[in-house]
Amino acid sequence: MTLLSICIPVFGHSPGSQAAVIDSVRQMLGNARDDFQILIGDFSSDTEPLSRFASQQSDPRLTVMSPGPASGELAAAASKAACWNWMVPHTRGEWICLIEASDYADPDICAVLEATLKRVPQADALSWSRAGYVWPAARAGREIARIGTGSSLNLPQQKDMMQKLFYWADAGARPDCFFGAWHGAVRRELLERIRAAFSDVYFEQEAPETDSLCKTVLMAQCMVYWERPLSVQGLAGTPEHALPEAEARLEGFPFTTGMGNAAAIALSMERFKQRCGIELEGWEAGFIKACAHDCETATSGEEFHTRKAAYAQAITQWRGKKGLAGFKPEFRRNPKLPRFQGLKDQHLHFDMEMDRTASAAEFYRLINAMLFPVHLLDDKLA
Amino acid sequence: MVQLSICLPTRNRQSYCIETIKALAASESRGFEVIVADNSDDPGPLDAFLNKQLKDGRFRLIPPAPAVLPMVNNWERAVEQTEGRWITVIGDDDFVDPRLSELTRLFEVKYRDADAISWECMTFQWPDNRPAPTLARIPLASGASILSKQALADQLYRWSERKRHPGVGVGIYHGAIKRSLMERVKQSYGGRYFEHPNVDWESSCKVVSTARAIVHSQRPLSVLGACAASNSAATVSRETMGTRLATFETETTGGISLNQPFFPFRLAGSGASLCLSIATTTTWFCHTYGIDLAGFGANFAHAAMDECRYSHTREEYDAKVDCFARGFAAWEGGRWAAMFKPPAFAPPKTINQLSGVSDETLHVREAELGPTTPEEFYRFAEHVIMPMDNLLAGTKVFAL
Repeated sequence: MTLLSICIPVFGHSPGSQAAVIDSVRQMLGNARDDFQILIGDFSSDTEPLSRFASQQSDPRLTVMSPGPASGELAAAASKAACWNWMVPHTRGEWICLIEASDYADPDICAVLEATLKRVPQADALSWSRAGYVWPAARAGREIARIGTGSSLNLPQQKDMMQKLFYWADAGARPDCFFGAWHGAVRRELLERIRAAFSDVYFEQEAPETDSLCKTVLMAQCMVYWERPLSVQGLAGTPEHALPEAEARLEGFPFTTGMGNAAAIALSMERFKQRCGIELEGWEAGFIKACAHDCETATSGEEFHTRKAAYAQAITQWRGKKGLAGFKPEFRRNPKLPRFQGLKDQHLHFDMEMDRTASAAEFYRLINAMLFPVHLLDDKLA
Repeated sequence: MVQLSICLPTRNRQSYCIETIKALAASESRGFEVIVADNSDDPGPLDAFLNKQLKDGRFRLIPPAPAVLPMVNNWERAVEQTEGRWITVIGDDDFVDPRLSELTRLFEVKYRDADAISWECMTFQWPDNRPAPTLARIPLASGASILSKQALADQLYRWSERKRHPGVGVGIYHGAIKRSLMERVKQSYGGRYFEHPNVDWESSCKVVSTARAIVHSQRPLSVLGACAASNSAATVSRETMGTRLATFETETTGGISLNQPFFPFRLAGSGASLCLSIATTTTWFCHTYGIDLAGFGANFAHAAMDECRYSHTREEYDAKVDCFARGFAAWEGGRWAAMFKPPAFAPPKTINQLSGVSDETLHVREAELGPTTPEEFYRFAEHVIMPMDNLLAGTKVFAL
């Protein structure tokens, strides 16, 4: 039985994405488990490299599919969500996980699913701490990774997750809520319920990551969160949910995706709320704080001030000057100060040059050797 | 005067020793010298490497004596040859950061009375010493402070922590001792720097007793390597432990015996442990130099029970319990025997697999990583601890 399908859509517009995905898949196939599937959806204009790679591997756990002549059309016109929707029916796993070509997800997620389902059989959404990795070519200077060292398995309550997501409770530069199929695993049964409830599609919007997050939090019966990272999100220095500006504007909500992660995610959430007819009050203060936190992630003074000015203008336009009362970002990333390395607040801070990793897969190999072993989770919970 | 002397006593592990020399020679610092005390059967390899290939004025080779020396004598002649203001000793399969020389300068200013510096060590198993899963260790903290000599004395001489070994390592081995302190040690203890075969623990005993002030750096400055041929490899394999102890006893002939009538525990045989080996040394020191041992008997009974808890197999557990029980029965008329009540054997769920962070220390599954030597491992680990430049600059504020 296939427990997990790891889906990786590959788009032609990401340079090196095919090489990156090959690197990741090689490492995944090195895992001895046979209960996972890797499904590569090749939406690039040249499908030959990945097709050849799959033939060379000749591994039943790997499937490479392309919509054929419609590939480019699907990718270009109908967006990422359409590509994701196209892939799901081709999966065979009981659980579905989606990542991007520059990312890595480890097949040992299956071990966590097994340990979880043994104790929480009704679980239908699993998430974990996500590790961020800036690929060497995308680094402007020294990059410090921040990786959680915890290994507790938690069952967050739905009401708490809704607070964290829709009301931005305890948010940093983004909501402190990480569920959904993107860098998470969602049970097929839940995905089908989502499809039935939302116009016969699994994913919508230009940013299906946030769409999946909102739908999962709303509709999951039992969410499970493991503190230990099981996937790596490859970062290229742009906001993770960035969209073309023209597509991202929303009437009455004068934020744009280019402002940063908080704005990009809020835009998707606002669309989702409008789509579902959800009207909430009292979330604005949490979001404005998140905007301030987003400014504080800027790595240069210039970037900080640009971001601060853009957010301030949008907040003023949206809520008037009184909205700025909760918007007080402070520039914390003084480039003259050395970056911290070591252990702080149960997080390891280390230079991404460590062990000279050259890909998201190699970075996972590194952090995997430094963190609680996945195979001991079952013993830990016993 | 050169600021730091690094002593490298070695015997018949030339290939590891050459790797260590290369690692030290890669440093551009001129603030240190290295004394290689070769006690090998074949003098050729190190002589060829140091005198014909490396030709680095910072390194000096002491060739083998006509007959093999006890380890303690090899250490003695190494330190005798040093010219540095501070002296450290590492194993031939270890690594110490040569920039320790700069840190000693900083600490001389910051802690004026300090004449001994200790630090947390990283540990690393060479690739040839991984018969089972192994974990390397990286201490993550970076503070420094003067240690209480009273607390150290309680921990080291009287085993107040009641653990399988004292959590104290403040001697010359993976520590730096000021020359003036080493001379005081020599004057105070039989006209030699080292006497006992367990040179590292003996040095800790003497430093705790004699130092004016001991500074401890939480930031690691060296790597305790363990290659397949090392004494440290005994911690990975019980078989190796037996062989090493036998060799150790043989090669210390002429010096102080490991077996002393006032501490009648048997060090040879399958029940041997590092706990016993260390206790033999600390009790020898206290007995010889009149150090108060009040409380040691009860504390050591608990330490022995702790050692038994660390048994991997029933066979190992039974051998340790038997060895301790016989020793306690014979020691001081069986005075402490009733206190030795080891818990029933509980097989460990895992051995050397629990990677992750505990007690501000990172444990990594080293077989899955790139470094293949202690120096490479140190450079690897420097990415997750405070950089040496910041340590030397006294940087207190960092950006997250």
